[in-house]
Amino acid sequence: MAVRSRGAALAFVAPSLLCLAGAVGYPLVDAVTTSLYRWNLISGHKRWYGLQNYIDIAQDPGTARVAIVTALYSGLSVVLELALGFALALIFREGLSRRLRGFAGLRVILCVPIVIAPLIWAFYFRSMYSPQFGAFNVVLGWFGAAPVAWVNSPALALYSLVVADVWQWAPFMFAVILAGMLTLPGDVVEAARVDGASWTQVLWWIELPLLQPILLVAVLLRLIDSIKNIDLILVITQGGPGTSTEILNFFAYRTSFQDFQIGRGAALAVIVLALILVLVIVLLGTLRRLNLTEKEA
Amino acid sequence: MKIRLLYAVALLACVLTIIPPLWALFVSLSVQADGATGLGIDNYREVLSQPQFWTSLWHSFAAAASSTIISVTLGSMAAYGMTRFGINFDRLALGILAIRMIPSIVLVIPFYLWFQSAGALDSVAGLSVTYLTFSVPFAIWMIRGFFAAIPIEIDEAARMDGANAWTILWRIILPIAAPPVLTTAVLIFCFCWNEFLFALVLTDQNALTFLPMLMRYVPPQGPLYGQIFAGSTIYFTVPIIAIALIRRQLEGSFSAGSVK
Repeated sequence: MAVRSRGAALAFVAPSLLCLAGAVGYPLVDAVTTSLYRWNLISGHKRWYGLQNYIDIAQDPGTARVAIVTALYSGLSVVLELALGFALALIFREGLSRRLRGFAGLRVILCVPIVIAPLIWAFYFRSMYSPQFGAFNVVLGWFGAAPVAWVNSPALALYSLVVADVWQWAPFMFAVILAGMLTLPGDVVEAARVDGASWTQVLWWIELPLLQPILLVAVLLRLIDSIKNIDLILVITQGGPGTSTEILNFFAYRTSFQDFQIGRGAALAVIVLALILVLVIVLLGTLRRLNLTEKEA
Repeated sequence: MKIRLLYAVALLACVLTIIPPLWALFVSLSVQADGATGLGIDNYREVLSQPQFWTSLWHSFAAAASSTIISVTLGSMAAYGMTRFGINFDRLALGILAIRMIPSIVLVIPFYLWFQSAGALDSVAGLSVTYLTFSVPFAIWMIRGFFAAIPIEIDEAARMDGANAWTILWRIILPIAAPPVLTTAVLIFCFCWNEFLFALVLTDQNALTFLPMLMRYVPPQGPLYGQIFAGSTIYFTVPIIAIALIRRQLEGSFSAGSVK
């Protein structure tokens, strides 16, 4: 029997809690406080502004544009990553379960993008998208096609960024979903097969419901990360051309550290936080449900 | 037929996946000479001869390493407290996991303002403190799982022999869980190594780390891709070596976790 001692337990946990209170809790409070000021870092002009920053943001016609760009960027990226990751996971599960040679190695290669710093990945794509010498236009040239302004046209730039994002993170989706698939109880699937269920029926009625929590966790993690993304935008488009790729997180950064309107920037950052918080609450709920089902099993 | 299709799709996916890094490798090895393009290591030589490359690499390493050491130490203590005294910390653990998700943008603004008024802007120590915001929660969350799998009887036996809780943690529990804890440390190091926003906003000259330094290879006439990719290929070898060192533990610890 373990020694039950709340005091001793807390003594060990306390240093971490103090550290987190100082390094996270206090800054959060300070960020919210900062968002209540009208504060220009260049002029040093700072005065109480109440909730006016938030009201200004709500009334700014640019806000709707930022919201749409953010939703398009995150939504499209995550949906494509889920679809690609799921399809690839199905293929690799098939290959691995038949013990086909080479699939274990290919699986490792497919995971390479996950460990590359997003900033460096962004430089890869900035260079591949470059008008004359970039890989994409070079390949188009082989087929005699005219070069495309991948990131210099307002109509195309956002989708080019989505492609760069999907290229890096579909492998993450793949890795998580494949790991989930490999832990599915084989006997249930066997039993269904014996009862005459087709491949699609097994997938739709048995495997998908079993995988659903893992899929949800993977989607939420990606959604959170794509809202927090800033590297691609900073390196490739700086929000442009015009404002066509200005997602919320970058907008908050630009307002704070390029326009030096730190009060308003803090208000935008608090909005990013609120968005993420909603997703995290859903995520934690899912994780707890996963935990519960594991304990029952 | 079906097997061929499986191979075809899997191979195609892998080729597409590694095109961007291979493209970068190709660009870093390209040399312009007499109007023609050839292969050579000039970009690497150029980057390696720049003092700013080495200092920024050192700053990245120092910030990541110190944050890793502090977070694994704090995380081990917290994990020990949460798993060895029969008190349920599940809710707190979930809350700590949530902290890891907090977007950097909302933290970097207050950090910038504080560091500015305290004169801590552009210092490696300041930067590594900001890395604790995500490394400590991750360390606690991971190590807690590893410690929970160690039978409590081990603590009891040690206590019978007169060991106190502090000794049990550092001399018995941590050594038992050393392989997965080491894995966690390497992962944390990689997170810090790849962190960008804090480093971009909070460092400038004296503590400039590698990734924000890359942004300075972008003169108005366009980025110096050859040098950027030569530098990042070198940069990239550090986490690769770290992960290769712990590969066996990586596979072992995760399969062990899934069984339990």
